[in-house]
Amino acid sequence: MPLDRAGGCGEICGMFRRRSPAFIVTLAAMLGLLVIVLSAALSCLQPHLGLTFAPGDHGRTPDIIAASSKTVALPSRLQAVIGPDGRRIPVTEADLLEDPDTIATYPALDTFYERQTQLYHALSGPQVRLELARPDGVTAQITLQPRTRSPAELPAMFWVQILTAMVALVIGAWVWSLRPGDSATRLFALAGLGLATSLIPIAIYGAREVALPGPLFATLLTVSVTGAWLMGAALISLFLVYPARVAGGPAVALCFALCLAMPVLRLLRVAPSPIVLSHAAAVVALVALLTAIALQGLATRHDPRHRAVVRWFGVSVGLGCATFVAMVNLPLLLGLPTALPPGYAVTAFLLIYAGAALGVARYRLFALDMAAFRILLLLGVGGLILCLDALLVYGLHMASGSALGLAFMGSLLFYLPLRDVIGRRLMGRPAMDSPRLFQLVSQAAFDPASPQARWEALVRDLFDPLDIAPLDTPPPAPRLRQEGLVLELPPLAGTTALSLRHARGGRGLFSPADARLAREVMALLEAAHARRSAYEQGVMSERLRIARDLHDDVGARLLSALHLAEDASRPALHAALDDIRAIVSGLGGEHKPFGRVIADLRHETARRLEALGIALDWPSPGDDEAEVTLSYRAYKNLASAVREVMSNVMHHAQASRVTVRIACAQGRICAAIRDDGQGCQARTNGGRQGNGIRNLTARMQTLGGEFAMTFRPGSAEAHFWFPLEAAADAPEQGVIENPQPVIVGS
Amino acid sequence: MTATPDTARPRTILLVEDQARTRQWLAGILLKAFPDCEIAACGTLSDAFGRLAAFRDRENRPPPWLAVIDINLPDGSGIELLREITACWPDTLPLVATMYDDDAHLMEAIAAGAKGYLLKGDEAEVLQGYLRRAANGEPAMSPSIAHRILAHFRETAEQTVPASSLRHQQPLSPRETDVLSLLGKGFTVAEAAQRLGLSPQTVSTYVRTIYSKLSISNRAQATLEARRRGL
Repeated sequence: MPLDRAGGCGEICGMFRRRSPAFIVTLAAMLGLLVIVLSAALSCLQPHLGLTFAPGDHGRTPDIIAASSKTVALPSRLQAVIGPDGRRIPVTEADLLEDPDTIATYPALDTFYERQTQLYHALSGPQVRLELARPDGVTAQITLQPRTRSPAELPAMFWVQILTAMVALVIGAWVWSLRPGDSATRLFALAGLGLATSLIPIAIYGAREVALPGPLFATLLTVSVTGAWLMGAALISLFLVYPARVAGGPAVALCFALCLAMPVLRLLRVAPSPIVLSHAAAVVALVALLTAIALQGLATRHDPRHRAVVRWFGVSVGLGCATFVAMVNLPLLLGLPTALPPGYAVTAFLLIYAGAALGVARYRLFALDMAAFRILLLLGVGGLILCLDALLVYGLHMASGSALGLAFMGSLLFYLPLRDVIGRRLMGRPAMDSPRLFQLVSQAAFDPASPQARWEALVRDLFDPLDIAPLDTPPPAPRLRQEGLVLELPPLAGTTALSLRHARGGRGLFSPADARLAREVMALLEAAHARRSAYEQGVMSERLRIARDLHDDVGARLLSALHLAEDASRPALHAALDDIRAIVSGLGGEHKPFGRVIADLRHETARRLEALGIALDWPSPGDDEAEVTLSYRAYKNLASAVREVMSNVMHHAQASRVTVRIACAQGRICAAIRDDGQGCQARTNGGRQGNGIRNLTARMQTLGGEFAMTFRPGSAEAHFWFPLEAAADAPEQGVIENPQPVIVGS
Repeated sequence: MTATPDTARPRTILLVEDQARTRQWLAGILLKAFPDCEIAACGTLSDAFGRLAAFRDRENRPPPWLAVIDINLPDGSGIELLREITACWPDTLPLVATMYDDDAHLMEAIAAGAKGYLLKGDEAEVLQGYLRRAANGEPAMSPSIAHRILAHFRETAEQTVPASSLRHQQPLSPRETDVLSLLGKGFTVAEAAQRLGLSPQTVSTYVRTIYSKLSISNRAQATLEARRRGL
């Protein structure tokens, strides 16, 4: 952007970049308000006779259709103004011209300014003599005393133009304030500034009753034309760089140079007619704008997101400008009557700003989103409070006696508390109190499930930024960037580094105090994490002690019992020893790879079968499968099921060969164990083994799996499967879920 | 390690186990497996050392040819006893009696010189088979012990140690590594032999070599560690 390199502007931009978006938007609104007040004052202070003229043709004397003074007989025509020196100045419709830019020749323009000056002097004395002609042809002279107008008496067109200017200014500032470094938002804001600059002078001279001093008139017109060309340059340049960059900095610079040369050429009177320079050039500028939009359409045809922006924003800008040109410039250029007074035609430009606001909401125009509207809402509520204040002052001023007392009581009871509440909301949330901060920090520290979400929620609660984005290059410590527009946070355990943009919903900037707070909160979180892992370590060592005791003491006793036991109770004791082994490894928090689990089970099974002379066919799992880790519970469930089935085979089947296939895939464990022994119902009926199989069926069901045995002559097959997830059923991590912090003193 | 029956004199088996019932049970199994043997049973470490001293003092009596030692003893660790036996009687076959074959102590015991282990929770028939095989030079090896041994040799291979201390350290040969990997997957010696195209006896020899290498490596490590600490 060449604007950035132009020293002065760069400095101004830099200055504004140090401010919050809300500050910039409010400043723009205040500036606009000041200009409104000044222009309204300028218009109001002009000498006013209280006459209303009917719109009419050039060259005729104007019709008076309404008058505030009774001395004016209606209807009548204003023939002439009699100057203080007694000179008679005839008045025509041409003097009441809304916009002198419609005058076709330079001499006519000079005459117009000259007559304006004369009329203005004639009308600004303490008393003004007018020559009126009644419809019956009788001419009469009357004397009126000019006075100033109240703002309410200014014509409606004045307010329409002023409000359009305000909308352009505020929306432009709004978009720019949220992305101050972006050339597109800068150009859009500049276009708004140009439109406002163009409209306010038009509103002032359009609101005159008869005349303004010629030089003032000429100056206002020059300012207005400059503003219009600034807007044109900014809009054309905008579509050269946004959404796609179809032309570089030189093209943008050329565009600005050409457009801003126009008002200069106009002052130098280079063109054969003022109309050519203003209206023909406006048509050319429109064509340039539409061409730039079309180029955007072409450049973004493969990018749906940008294409949507071009369609929406391009159409609203193109339509807004084209409507104005078609209603004003084109008819004037072709000498046709205008469909709408040019003063009202400026509302066509509102299309651009409505389009931009809706584009932000729908298409993330200028990379902004719904959060950006909070700034506008803020401004709206702020404005409303100002209006209510004005109304209150006005009301108190008007009321008298008991009414005054009532109004005072009413405002004391209702309005002031309400205002206070709204005001406090606007000024930002009060600083977070310690119990709340403690609660948030402990929630973030003790939720192992979603540390990122918790951390972002905490950051949102602390700083209420409009935008949170992950950061690729983490800073070593929380630090401010872009003069406080951005706060960068380093990563915490289990979270990424974050970049926060626009503090407190866009109402403020990040301050060194915010960076300090972030540092403290991060230190707190780290301390909490450290304490948590220390606690977990304590839990772990305690578990290991329990495991050792179980293993050494209970195990030894069971073993003694086993060595004394009768055959019938041996399997139960064996199972108890196996359980202890599984529990001990579970208490150690071990997650075993599937391959190791199978190896242990296979080794154990092979030894048991070998003693009985039963052959085993059990391939080891593939490498990928072997890497899957099983939780203690999954491991224990698998081991007990395999042992149970094997015991059944060994004690009842009289088999010579056992085939085992166990797979771990798609989140479940599936097993098939086949033997070539007696496929006999006795194996599932009665006795301990029968019970074992029945227990297994029930157990697999509770795990969300299945167990089935099928018998055929000369073979039996046990099938079972269970899901890893349910079987993994979270062994507690040593942390209470959703810890509720104790809040002291609440 | 070879167990050539010496019919002239009854051979002695040293059994060290603190739990009286388990001791009796193990003694019964040992007698069933080796009917012509005498059993010297002890309940504590000091008792066991006393017995060893008695063997040493009486020149005419040969040392025990088999020692079955429990690791957790009330007055100390059976590993001390294992070291003593390995140092004094290289012909004695020391076995560890343990409850679980994935015990960390078991690895320590093998490193201290144990040439095999028994699982006290096994059924008597299984144990008898194991004892006979151990006596015939076919020591057992569980998958978890195989993994631990593999990990141990991987670690020592990665360590940078002075060449002088490496003199006694022998890394595992590729064949030995293959055998250990298969045993680590839960295959039996016979299955491993079949997969490698070897005889089960050859595989058993590899297993014995692995036990010895671990023990030697462990001693070298201890020396190295002692030298590092300036002992």
